[in-house]
Amino acid sequence: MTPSTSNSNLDAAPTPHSSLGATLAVFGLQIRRTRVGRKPIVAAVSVVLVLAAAIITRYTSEQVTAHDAVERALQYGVFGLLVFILPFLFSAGSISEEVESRTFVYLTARAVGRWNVVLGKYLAGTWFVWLFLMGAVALLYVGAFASHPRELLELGEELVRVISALTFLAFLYTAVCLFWGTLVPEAGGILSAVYLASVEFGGAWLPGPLRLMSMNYQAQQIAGLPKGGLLAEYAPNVSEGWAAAAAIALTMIFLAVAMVITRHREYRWAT
Amino acid sequence: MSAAETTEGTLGDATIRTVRLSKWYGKVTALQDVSLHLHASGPNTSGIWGLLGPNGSGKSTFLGLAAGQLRPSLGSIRVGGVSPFANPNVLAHIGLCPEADALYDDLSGLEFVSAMARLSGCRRQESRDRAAAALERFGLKNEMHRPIGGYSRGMRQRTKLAQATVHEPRVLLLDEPLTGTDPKSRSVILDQIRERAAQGCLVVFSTHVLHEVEALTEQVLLIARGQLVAHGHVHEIRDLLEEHPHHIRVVCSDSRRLAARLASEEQEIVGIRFPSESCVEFETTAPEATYAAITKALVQDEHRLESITSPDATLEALFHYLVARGTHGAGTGADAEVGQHSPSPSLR
Repeated sequence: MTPSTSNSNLDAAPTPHSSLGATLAVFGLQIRRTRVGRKPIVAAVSVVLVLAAAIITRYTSEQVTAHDAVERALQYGVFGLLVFILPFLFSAGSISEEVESRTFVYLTARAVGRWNVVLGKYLAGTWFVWLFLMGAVALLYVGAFASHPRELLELGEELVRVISALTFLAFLYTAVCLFWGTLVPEAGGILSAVYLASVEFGGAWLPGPLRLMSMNYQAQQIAGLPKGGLLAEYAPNVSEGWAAAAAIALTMIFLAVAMVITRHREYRWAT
Repeated sequence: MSAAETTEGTLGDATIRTVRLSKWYGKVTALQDVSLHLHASGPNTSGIWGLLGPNGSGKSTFLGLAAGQLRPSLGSIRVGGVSPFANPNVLAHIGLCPEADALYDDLSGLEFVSAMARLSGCRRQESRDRAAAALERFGLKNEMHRPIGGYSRGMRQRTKLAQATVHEPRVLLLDEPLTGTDPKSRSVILDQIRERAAQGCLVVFSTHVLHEVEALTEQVLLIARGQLVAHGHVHEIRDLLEEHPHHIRVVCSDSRRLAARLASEEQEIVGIRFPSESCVEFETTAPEATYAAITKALVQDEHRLESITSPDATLEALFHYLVARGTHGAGTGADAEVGQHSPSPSLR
C-alpha cells in the first residue's frame, strides 16, 4: 500500500541529529527558555543577598578579617545555601514543570532520544548553576579583599580548591534535582528539597563519621573549610581524590537513573 | 523504503497499523481491541481520517499511542511498520498537535517553532527559515515575533499546527485541532490539513464534532468507550443522525441579537435557549446550513466571538447506540482493514 507522493515535498524532511547534535539542540532550547524566564533573576537576588551579608560583615566589624569573612560566607552562604538553592531553581522543575504544564510532549514527540532530552536539560541546568556559583565566589573574594588586593593574588590555590569543590557539587546537585523531577514529576521540587536538606545539608552536621554521607561535607573538605557541627573533632578527614571520585560516581548514578526513567516512562498525555 | 530499513527502525510507508490494540490505565480501559490499517492518499482514500468520538472515548489515547507517547498494554501499533514509542527514527516522520493548550509562552512563535525544527534535525538557519515559512502558512506572519503568551486561542492553535508540520512529517496526528478556533483560524487550518494530505501525508485528526469531520474528509472512524465501533463514510453517520436535532452553542458579545436574527432567517432552527447571558444554544435539523448562517451573522453584525461548540448530545446518543450493538459493528476485530474500505457502507 504505497501512498501517492507524486507532488509530495515529504522528502524535504530533515535527517535527525546525531546524538551529540540532539543533546545540543535540547541544551540550546533549555538555555534560551531559562534566559527569558524569571529564574535567573531569583538566582541573582539570592547571590546578591549572600554577598551583601558577607561584605557588610567584613566592613562593619574591625575584628573580622577579609579571610574570616570569606570563610564564613563560603561555609554558610555558599556551601550552606546557594549550592542548594541554585540547583533546585534551575533543575528540579526542568522536566517536572514541563510534564505538569503538558509541554514535555513537544520534546518527546521529536526526533531526539529521550536520554538526549535529559542530558541536554541537565547540562543547561548545570551551566546556570555553575555560572552563578562562580560569579558569587568571584564577587565575594573581590569584595572582601577590595581593601587588600595584594592578598587576593596569593590565594590562587585556595581559589582552585573552592572552585573545584563547588563544581563537583553543581554537577551532583543538578543531577539530584533532575532525578527527583523525572521520578515524581508532580512532587519533584519538594522531594529534591527534602533530599538536599536532610541528606546533604543535615548530613554535613551529623556527629563523627556519619557526616560522610553528605557530599557537601566532603566538598567542604576539598575547599579546605573548617569542620563544624556535632563532634567535629571525630569527623574523618577526606582526601580530595576520594571526595571527587565519590561526587562523580553519585552524579553519574543519579543522571543515569533519570535517563532510564525518562526513556521508559509514559508521561502525562491526555487532558 | 526497504523492509530492511523498516526492521532497523526507520519509517516505511506513511501508514498506521494496529492489531488488537488495547490500553488501560490501572483499572480503566481507555482503548480496547482496536485493529485497523490507515494509509496516506490513494485511489479510494483522501489520506485524511477523522477520529470521531465523545470526550473520554479513547481518541487521545489512540493518538498518544501512534505518536509514541504511550505504550500499548496489549496488542501492537506500527507507524510505517515500526513501533513508535520513544523511537526517534520514527518520530522524525510524525507531526503531533496535542490537545492541551500548552506552549512555551515566554518564547515568540518563531523561536518556538524554530526550536521544534532544530529538534527535528534542522540546522540553525534552516530551522529559522522553515519556522518562518510554517508560521506564514498558518497566517502568523505578522505575529511570529511576539511572545506566545500574548496570542489568542486561535493563534495558539495555529502555532501548534505550525510546529507539527515544520519538519514535513509523513504522518500528521492532530488532537482536536479546531477546538476553540475562530472562523479565520478554522479556515486556515482546514486548508493546510487538506494541502498536507494532497502532498501524500497521512492525516489523522480527532474531534467530537461531526461537522468538523465533514469539513475535511469523508473517511471517519467512530470510537466510543475505547472501542472502534464503526468506520465508513461520514454521510452514513449523517443519515443516522438525521432523526435527531443537532445542538450548536455560541458564546459571543451579543447572543440575543444573534439568536433573534437566526430565528427569523433560518427555518431549520427548531429551538433556542440561553444557558447564560453571553451564550446561546441552537437546536437545528440542518447543522451545516446553521453553521454557515451563524458564521455569516457573526461577521456581518460584527460580533465578538468567543467560541462555537457542539454539546453533541445527539452524537453521544448515536455512540451509545453503536456501542450497544457492540461487536457487530464494522471495523472491530483483528481482520479489519479500514484503509482499504470499499464504497459499501461499513456502518451497520
